Amino acid sequence: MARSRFALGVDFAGEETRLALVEVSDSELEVVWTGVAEHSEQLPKLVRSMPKRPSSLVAAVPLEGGALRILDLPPTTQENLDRVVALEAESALPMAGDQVAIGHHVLGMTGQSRLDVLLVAARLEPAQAQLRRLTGLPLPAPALTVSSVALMNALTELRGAEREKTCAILRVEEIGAELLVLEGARPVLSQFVSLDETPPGGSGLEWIGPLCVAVRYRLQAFAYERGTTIDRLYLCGAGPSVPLLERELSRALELQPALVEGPGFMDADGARFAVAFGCAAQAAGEHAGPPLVALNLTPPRLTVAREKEQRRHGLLAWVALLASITIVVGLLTASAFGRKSTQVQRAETQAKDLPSIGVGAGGLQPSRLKRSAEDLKLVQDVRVGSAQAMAAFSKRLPETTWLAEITYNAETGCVVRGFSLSPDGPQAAQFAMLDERLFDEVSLDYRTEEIVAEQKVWGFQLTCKLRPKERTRTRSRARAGATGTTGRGAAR
Amino acid sequence: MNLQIAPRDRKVVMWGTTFAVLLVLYLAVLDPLTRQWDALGSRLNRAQRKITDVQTEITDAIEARTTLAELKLRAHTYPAVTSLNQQTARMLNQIESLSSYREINVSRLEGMPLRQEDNFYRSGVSLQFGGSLNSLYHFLEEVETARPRLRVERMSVAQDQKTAGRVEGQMVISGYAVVLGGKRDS
Repeated sequence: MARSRFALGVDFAGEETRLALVEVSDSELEVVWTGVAEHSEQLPKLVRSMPKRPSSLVAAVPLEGGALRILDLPPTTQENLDRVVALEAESALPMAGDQVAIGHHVLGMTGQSRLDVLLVAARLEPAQAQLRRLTGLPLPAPALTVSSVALMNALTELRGAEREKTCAILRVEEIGAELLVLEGARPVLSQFVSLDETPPGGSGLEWIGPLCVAVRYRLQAFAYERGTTIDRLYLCGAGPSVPLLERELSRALELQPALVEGPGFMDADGARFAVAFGCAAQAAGEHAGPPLVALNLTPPRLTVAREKEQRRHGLLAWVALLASITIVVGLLTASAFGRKSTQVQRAETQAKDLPSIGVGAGGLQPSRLKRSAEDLKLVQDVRVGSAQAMAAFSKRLPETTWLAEITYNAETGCVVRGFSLSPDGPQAAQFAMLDERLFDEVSLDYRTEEIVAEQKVWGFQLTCKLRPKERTRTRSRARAGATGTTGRGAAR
Repeated sequence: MNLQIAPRDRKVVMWGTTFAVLLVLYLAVLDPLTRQWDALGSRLNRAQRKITDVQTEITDAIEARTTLAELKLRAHTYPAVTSLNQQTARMLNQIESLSSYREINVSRLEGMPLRQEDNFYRSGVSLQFGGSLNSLYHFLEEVETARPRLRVERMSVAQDQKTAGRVEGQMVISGYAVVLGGKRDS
């Protein structure tokens, strides 16, 4: 058998503090103790008188300082939903100001596949003031809700599936009444009806009439607006203990009120603890009963402020990053432009300072001059010059040999005619010239025996040939073919 | 103003804004910068081209001067074709100014017609001479080492029948000319 646990619900109804302790077992939720502290000073004693220590605690503040709204939001994750609800609360709630605590509960999906979210808010300062009553008591940390949500939970816990489709809950306390209309699980109307208009000095029941009228007007307006009727009106709070209230309400609304009842709430006194019971049911958490609206009001401003701060920091980081990148890119660009400008200025100054010489020096074309020089070199460089040939013939011929005639041609070579005193003189002369290696070919054309001045001599003729400059000729021919011109005489 | 906008529309607006910002960034910053960069590049190219041109001109001028100096050792140079009529006279003068010219006995000195080659002109002098073999040798040596260059094209030398130790003969010496500027005659 699982061990049972205890949960405590606290209802701050004016100066009174109502407590309901429930035992949570596997199958049911049972009220085991209720208590009322008329003043906050009585509360510690009351708490100490509890038969069991609760493991969880939910406290409800009156709707006077709060509000309920239904938000229609696109489907999103739970984490994102918290953020979206916190932001939506800014515009959805009439309570402008920083001191607001909010909570939300997803009621389900609409026909348009959007989230139906119950947004609950309470003024933070009065809520904190009431929570301070619990400070110093041997109780667990309280979760905060509003009385309307607690009433919803109480009705859901007590009536469950038997609950009417459209029903209203009227909580009547000394400080005022609270009207809640439910359409299925959705709270469609939640209003606080002030009883401050009760004239002083009367019987003390003058407030019933105006309350009935106010409730009737509100319900009629609701019925007219929604095109529906209220199936049942539930009564709770301190009001049901007033004998005239039920009768007057029945007469004004033409609807027989019923008490919020259930285990432990069988009488009018028990109905006083409806809100505390709803809180206790919420504090009980998961149990066998129908699902309840679990809320814990927290200051959204902190969340929003934190979110905004985080976003601001993120934005600042991005802006700083972008600014840094922009500055770096700007500096690099400026540096590149500076370098390029300097380079351009240097080049332009250099170009400006350089003198323009013109084509060649004095109009000379180097390529043409070079061609002329190359051609002249080819023409002027002879293999065997005339002086060299003369020197060779003078020095190398045998002593018994002398020359009578020399014919020199720079291109073809020499033809020499001479005489020798000996018959082998011509051959000796030929060999001598061959040894000299000046000419490519040395041939003895003839040798004749002659008598000169009664002296027998041998006349001869040597042809010393030079091979033609093939390269020169080939080049000249090629150039002549290319230009269509050949060397030709031009009389000047 | 709390603007309610669907996530899809928000995405479209975000991308549109990004595109617009990028477009404005391009038009306002990148495009002018690119144009300025291109303008700087063009200026730099122009300046560098001018420097290169001047450098080429200087190189050409130096090369031209070097080649011209080399050319002047090989041929007479003339500024224009019309000056070529001086070539034969200058060549005769060059030969006559050789020191060994006076050592030989020149009986006839005759200029020959100017010939136009591909890149130069060739002039010729026909020389009829007499003298000692030694004098002839010196003369030939001087001709071949003369500047501008001269070339003995043909030579015929025979022993003097009347005087022993003397030779006589004739030779053809070529000289060269180059026209530096203007068009050559075709």
